[in-house]
Amino acid sequence: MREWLKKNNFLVRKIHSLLGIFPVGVFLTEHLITNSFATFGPEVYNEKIEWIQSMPYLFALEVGFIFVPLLFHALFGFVFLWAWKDNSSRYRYARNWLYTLQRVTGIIAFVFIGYHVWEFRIETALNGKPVDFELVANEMVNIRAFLFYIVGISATVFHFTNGIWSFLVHWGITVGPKSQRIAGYVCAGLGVALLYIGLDALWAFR
Amino acid sequence: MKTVHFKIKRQLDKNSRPFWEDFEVPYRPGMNVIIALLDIAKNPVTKSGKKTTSIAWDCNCLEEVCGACTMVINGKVRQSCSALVDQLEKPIRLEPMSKFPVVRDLKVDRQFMFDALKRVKAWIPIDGTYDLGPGPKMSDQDQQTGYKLSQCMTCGCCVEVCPQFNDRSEFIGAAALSQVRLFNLHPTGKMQKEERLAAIMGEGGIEDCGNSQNCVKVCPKEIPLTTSIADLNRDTTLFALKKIFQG
Amino acid sequence: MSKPKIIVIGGGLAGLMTTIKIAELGGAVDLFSVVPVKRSHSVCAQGGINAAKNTKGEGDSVEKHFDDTIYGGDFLANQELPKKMCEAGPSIIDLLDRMGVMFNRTPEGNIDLRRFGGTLYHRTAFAGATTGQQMLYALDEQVRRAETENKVTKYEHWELLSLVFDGQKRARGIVAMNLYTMEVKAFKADAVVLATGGCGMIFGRSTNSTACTGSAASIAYQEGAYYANGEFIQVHPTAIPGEDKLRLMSESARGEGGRVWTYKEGKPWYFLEEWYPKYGNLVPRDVASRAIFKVVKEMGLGVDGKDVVYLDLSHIDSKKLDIKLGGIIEIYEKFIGDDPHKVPMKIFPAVHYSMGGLWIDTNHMTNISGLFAVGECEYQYHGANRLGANSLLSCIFGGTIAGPKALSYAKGLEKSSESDSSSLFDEASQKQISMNEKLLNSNGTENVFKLHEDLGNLMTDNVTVLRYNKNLEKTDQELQKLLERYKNIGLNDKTKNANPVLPFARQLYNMLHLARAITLGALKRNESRGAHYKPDFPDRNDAEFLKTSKVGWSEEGPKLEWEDVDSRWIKPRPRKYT
Repeated sequence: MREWLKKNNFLVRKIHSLLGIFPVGVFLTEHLITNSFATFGPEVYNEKIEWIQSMPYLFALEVGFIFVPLLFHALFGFVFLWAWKDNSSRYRYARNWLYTLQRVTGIIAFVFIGYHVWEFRIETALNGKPVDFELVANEMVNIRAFLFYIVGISATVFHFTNGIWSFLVHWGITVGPKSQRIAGYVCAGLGVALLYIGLDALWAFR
Repeated sequence: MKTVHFKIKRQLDKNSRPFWEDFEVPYRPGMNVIIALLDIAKNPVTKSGKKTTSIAWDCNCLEEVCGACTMVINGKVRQSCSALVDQLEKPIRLEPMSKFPVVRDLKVDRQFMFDALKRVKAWIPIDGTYDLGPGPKMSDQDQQTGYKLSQCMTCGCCVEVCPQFNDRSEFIGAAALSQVRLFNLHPTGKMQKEERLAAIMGEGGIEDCGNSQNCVKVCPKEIPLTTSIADLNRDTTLFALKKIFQG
Repeated sequence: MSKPKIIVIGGGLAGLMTTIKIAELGGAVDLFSVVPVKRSHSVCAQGGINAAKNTKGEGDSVEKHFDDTIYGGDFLANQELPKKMCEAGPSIIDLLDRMGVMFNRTPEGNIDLRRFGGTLYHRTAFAGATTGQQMLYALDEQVRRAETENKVTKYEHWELLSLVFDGQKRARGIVAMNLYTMEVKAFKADAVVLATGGCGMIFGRSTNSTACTGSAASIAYQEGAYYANGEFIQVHPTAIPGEDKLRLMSESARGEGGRVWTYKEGKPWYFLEEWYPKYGNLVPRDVASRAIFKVVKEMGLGVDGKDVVYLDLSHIDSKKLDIKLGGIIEIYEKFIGDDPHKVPMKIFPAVHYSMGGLWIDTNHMTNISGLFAVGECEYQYHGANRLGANSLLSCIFGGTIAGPKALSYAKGLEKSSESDSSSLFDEASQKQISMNEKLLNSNGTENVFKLHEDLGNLMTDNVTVLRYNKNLEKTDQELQKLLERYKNIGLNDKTKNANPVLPFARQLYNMLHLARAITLGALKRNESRGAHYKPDFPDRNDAEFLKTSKVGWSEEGPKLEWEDVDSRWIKPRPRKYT
């Protein structure tokens, strides 16, 4: 495995960063927007969920476009963490903080998404429980779960939008300091917007 | 008499345990860390009056062009010649760089940095030193870009602060990567562009950069290291696509 | 016969060029250096490299470059090698350009030239204000390439301790010490090339790097090599005073329009421009340094009563300064804290360069067979005063001669050093090991760093800009006292891992002997020529002293002989820059 990884470092890293944006990041955006239908009330929300659940080839789509890319991204993300020796407390530069946060939020997002998928996709499927507004709302009554979701969504959104910034550098799209700075503002703006959408939807379940 | 208090991390050889010693040296206006170390060399006695051995450290040019005297001063890596005592918090803490094997005290072995230059073929492969006429013309603008990059003195600051550069990684570091950009933009060096790109696409190459961008913050020569890396990201991506679609 | 093996000691410009030439011609090189070669003192060269490329339509020519060089050197240089050097200048620039040196460019993409001291032409190619660094890096890269092709083996962090000779007193190798492990080892070679640079450390503080002790040259001198014209020590007019180092402010600052001045009667006084209307601020270094000394020491007109005058760039366009002089401006800002774009810099003369050095013939071989010298450690190119930007040229040109000549010498040997008996080398290294042991066990009261400080002060006070015979006599006596005190040194560090004191103790001993050679030359030369100025003998005296001084070492002290100068092409004429 190690030897294979060394040999294919370039390809694996490029795929890793690409999958983080597409399809994983794209799905995240879609998912947050879908959830925000909750702000229109349980009926609208349940309607949307039903529509999604009625899609053809749903399982294949989920596996191919979500689970496999997500697992690839997460698995290699953890492998790459091996070489990380943090020094953000010594060298307190903004980018260094963001670098550290990217890794910390990645770990949080992994735990969060794992729990979230287990709770609302796997466990429900195993027990034949319907996934709807009520299920989510019941969960959010628990203040600890609610807080956990706030942290999880924030971490995930940060990881995604800061990841877009890194992706742009990593693929050589933003090269100079000026373009990287502008990309930074754009990504921050996107992050704030997605965070609002995500937390606003979460609030609707309370 | 005004004095300056130094705390120096010492280590007698690469296998022995590091320890700290305190020194007090007379203050003079405009003094730098080198002057203090020279003072201690003349009188190697600790603050508490104990006789000790001389401190080993590297230096040569003393004007921040050779890169030798790099060390960690008050927690940050820099050249000790240009570290002016007036601008430093006291006591002043001196430590060896942490990413290289300690030879002794503040002296470290940075051979890795020079070997990295071999790995990326950081040279123009001229046909010979006999008279082959003038070199290629170059625009003023390209010269200025190249000149900035070619001021790298292989001091190691960029890798010292890199969270991706350590004993668990094979990462080659920003300095060597930036040299690839330098030689790839030279009119003659361009001819071996793909060879150098291939060299940084393997193990420990450009992909190991984690984008913390600390390197560019601490580079004493203000070399645009992160621009170099991003530029090489573009070149390696295009080169990889070319290999896929033209291969 | 297997590949001839050449040892090159020193990895600055001269050593690297020598190495490249030998490797290219099929020789094997062992390259020794006390620092990683990329950190050699050549990085400190700032202003540029001269070559009469005549790209500015001024009618510059190789002959004019040659004449300026000889005239600038006050006719003391033997003329053959300087002539060849000036002829090779333009092609050397082309070679460096091909190696990738980032020379500044004209709008058409050609190499730009600027003015420098001692000439009226634009003749100096430059890479910002770090030309030496840029050139060194280019050569370093070529050597690294040769290393990957197994043509060169580097021994960095190794210091020369002694030379090894065979029964016919031919250099057959060296004994060197690893500065990390203190290992002492002998190395065989068919020829040895010293490219070990200058000796500024003898003067304590100078513009030189800390590695420039002259120790290696002194080792050769103590083994019987002549030290020639040692009294000619260039004092550069513009350096920033400092306690650890006198940091050079390149002559290119004046080449790009910088002006030197001080206050007289409350008004700025541009004394160089007033005294030397033709060359102005670009008079040669010896002339400018003496002028500053006169203004400060004799007339008492230093700025704020201190030993400094102004070097002013503040009237020059800010962008132009950054592009052409960025390197030195950065140094001034970092070490002094003032911005030269806005305020004039405070400068004073400082010991900078040794025109003298090991005596060599026109093949760069010393009077010891098989021992060559190149770069600042030899004496051939600069006469009594070096022109700015000629040193980089002489290093490169010297390398193109010394390398091939050393190799052809080695090829001409009837048997290679490989066949020399190993006992010769064992004995030589054993001798050095016991010398180290003796030093490590010394428990005297003298501290070597303090002794060095005393040496530096003594030499700076008496053997620099102004020289008086009674002071020089006293200096030699003091040097002998320092050698006596040296016998009573104590090493506070007995460790055998990267011991910083042991190598310095050895260098200091060699510095003391070389200082005596330099002082003797200065004492015996009763005239004023180039950098050597005696107020009691203010004129040049060609009848008696148009001669190279050659100092040989003996148990009783240095011995001086004179040798005629080869003035084949340009006859001596009065030297004036007014």
